[in-house]
Amino acid sequence: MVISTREKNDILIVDVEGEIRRSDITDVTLHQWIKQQLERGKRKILLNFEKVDFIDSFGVGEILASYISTHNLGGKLKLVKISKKIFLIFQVTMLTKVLEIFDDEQVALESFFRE
Amino acid sequence: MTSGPGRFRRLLASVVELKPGEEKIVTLLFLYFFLITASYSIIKSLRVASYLDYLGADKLPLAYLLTAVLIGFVVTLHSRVQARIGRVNLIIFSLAFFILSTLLFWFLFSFDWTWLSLAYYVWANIFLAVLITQFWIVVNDLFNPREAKRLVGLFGSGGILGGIFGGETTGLLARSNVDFSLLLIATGFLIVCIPVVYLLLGRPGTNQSLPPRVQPASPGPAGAAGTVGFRDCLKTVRGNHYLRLIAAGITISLVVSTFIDWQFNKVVEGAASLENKLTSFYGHFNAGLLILAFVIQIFLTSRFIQRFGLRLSFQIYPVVLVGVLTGLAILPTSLLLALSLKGTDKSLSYSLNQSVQELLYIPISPDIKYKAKVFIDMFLNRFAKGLGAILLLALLSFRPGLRLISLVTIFLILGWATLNLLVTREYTLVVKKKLKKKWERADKVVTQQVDLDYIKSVFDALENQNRSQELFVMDLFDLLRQDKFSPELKRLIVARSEAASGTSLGALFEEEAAPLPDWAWTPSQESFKKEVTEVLADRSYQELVKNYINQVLTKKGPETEVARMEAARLIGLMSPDSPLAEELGELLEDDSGEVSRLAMDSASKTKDREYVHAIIRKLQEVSTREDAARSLLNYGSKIAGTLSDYLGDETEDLELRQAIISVLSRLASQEAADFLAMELLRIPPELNNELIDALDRIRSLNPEISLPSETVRLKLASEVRKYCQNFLKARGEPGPDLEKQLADSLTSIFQLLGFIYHPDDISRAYQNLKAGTKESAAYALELLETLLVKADRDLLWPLLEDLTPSDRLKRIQVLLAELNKDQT
Repeated sequence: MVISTREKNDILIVDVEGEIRRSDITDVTLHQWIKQQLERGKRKILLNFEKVDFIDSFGVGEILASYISTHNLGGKLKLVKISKKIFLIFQVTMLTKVLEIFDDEQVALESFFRE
Repeated sequence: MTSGPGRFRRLLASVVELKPGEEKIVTLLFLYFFLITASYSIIKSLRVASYLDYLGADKLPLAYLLTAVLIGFVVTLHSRVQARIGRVNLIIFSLAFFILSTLLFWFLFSFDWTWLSLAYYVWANIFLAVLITQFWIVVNDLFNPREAKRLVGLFGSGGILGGIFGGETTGLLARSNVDFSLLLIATGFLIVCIPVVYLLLGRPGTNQSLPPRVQPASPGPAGAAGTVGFRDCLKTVRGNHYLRLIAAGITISLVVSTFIDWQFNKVVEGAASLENKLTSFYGHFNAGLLILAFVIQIFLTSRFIQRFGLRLSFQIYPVVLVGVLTGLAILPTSLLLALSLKGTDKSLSYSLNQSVQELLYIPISPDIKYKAKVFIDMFLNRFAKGLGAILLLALLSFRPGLRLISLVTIFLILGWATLNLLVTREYTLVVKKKLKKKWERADKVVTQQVDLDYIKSVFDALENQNRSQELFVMDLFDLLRQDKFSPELKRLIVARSEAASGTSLGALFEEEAAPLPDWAWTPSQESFKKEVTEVLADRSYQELVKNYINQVLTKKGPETEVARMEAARLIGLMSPDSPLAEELGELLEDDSGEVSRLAMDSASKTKDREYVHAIIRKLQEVSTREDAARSLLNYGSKIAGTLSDYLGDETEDLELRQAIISVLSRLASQEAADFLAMELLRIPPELNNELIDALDRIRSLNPEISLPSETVRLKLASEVRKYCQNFLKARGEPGPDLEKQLADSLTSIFQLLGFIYHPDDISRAYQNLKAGTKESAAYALELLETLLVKADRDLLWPLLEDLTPSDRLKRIQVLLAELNKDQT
């Protein structure tokens, strides 16, 4: 998993690339990385999953933990450009009830502004 | 050399805690209140004197009754005019009306008509009701509860000073028993009041002087006036529990006041020494007791309310009255006691009690408040006087004597004090409603909305669909066994397998995936579940599988990883007493993370404590941490003690201890909370925030779980101490690190408060202090003031109150010195 970031206004766009799975843990997990951003005062985070091919149950745990950490601090964490196959699984597991997921980055960014 | 405005500001600041920019508004309010009460005080002295002179004290109940009837019409008229022309115009209009009518009375009194004093009495009461109600509505518009509590002592004293000034003017200038030429002076005060109102509220229609939050309601749409009337106001009060309590309290207090008024007048009327000096006596006496009220108001009211809160402040007046009335019950004709009674009544009623009463309206939403206030202050006030008069007349018909009346009054006061207690309790709820919760703890939302075990099972099953038919089928069977094998999941699996074979969804699922097994389509799956369970429980089958597993375990390499995973998975489907469970120990220590995580899952299903230590060790690795945590959670609270042993062991790895805090918090049981709370005072700094956050999670999920308040308060003091130290450090060497530490400390402080008080109330206050407007932050402080006991308030107020930087520094230095002293 490779993480790169961009910033638009006060929204941190996190471009994630590769797979988020337990067998492919890098130095810092997604949740640890998000926590570092929260420590730096970031409160609006958009995870761009356009280049994420695979997520296992560990990866889902990481996403949920990131979501919880962000929202517990009064922040917002949203997802954009998640693949259709992952989205279907998210739907079946009701994760779409909790996570805000967008197809389009601009729409996702606007949703932050609206709040 | 000090400038005039600077000196003036310092003068005001010596009386109340004044914030920059508040001088103008407080001075204008002071003047506004001064002028209307100075005017009213003259009118009132003449009202009583002329009435006693022309009609006598025994006919006073008639005046009370007539006022009560007429004021109903005034409420309707006032509400309708307000809806039509707006509040600022209405105030100006009212002042103009009373200026003209005062002049008219001055003219008519020259005809010496006996019954004119009755009309004058009623008119004076309407004057008071309208102008004083309007003044307090303006106060409600301008301030939040914190500001009002801080400033009410000053601007409220303007009213009392006006009363003194008016009373003294009456006393000094009255040339006869009833000197109506004084009405011209009252008129003068009212005329000066008009520009003061203009300066305070701005030109009608512009409202430039008011802060944005308090723009008075604009005139309603055409026709709206028709819908606002007496009934609407009455309905508003009847439909609101809080307002009903206020109304009931005021009603009883005024009935009491009527009784006291009568008792006082009766004793004074019988005092031969005052014959032919009634106007002068009333003027001087009113002024005298108003000096007492002024002293209380300007020096004590704000301080008392700020220090002791509304609840205690609202009980002072009835309690003191009970004391004096008890004396009067013993010596019913004592002029001294009668003077004390009236003095107590009016001095506390005009100062502390009125201030508290008016503060109670501030958190109510404006649309309700204005209707309620007009109804209560104008109509109910008079109605209560009328009711008091009826009760008094009824009581007097029995010729009871002053002693019995004193006892009846004491009885009424006890009811009134009870209502005061209830209304101040309800006040907390009203303040709370003003504060929106800005966010919920996300753990709570996630726990409520998604099934984490199900998510994990689905993801594992789908991953295994590409890995091993056997693992896949076992996952599906496990889901089936838990009644979680939903039609949506079946469709998803079919889509995956069809996509992989290129039959339907194209490139959606590109990897090879096992098809859905046939049994999954069986309409009645209960028999299938039963059959499989029987096979799994069969001893011969278990022996056979055990041999197979033993063979697999002899060759631990990548080529048997899937077989070992299958073995670990299979054991979890069997009963805990299966001989295969013996293999779990080895599988748990398998080099493959996939194998050991499946073994952890199976071990947790056996609930065998033998594996707990091995699973706890898996918390150290990031890759197995979550699976280990979930496995430990399957054991439930019975392993909380074991987890606590690891947590309390200072030689253990910090990451492991941190993960244990997380597991205990996810257990969210009383036992888990108890074990976590035990660590509060000895946790190393690196784990401090995690521990407090874990307990906060438990309390937010289940507020019924209690924590030892003594331990929590000690921790709270320690966190506040840390905050103060960092605050002082940050002044010397400011930087983002210290700022962050301060923010973290504050978060921990509020979380700790949530362990003693209801977490929802505390997080509501915290969120609004942290991320709310100035207004909502003020309400957050108000909520905390009503919730927190004094010791906790004293600890937190220097950190939270809206103070100037220099004041905060001083108060934090004092607090830190006290905390350091306590520690030593």
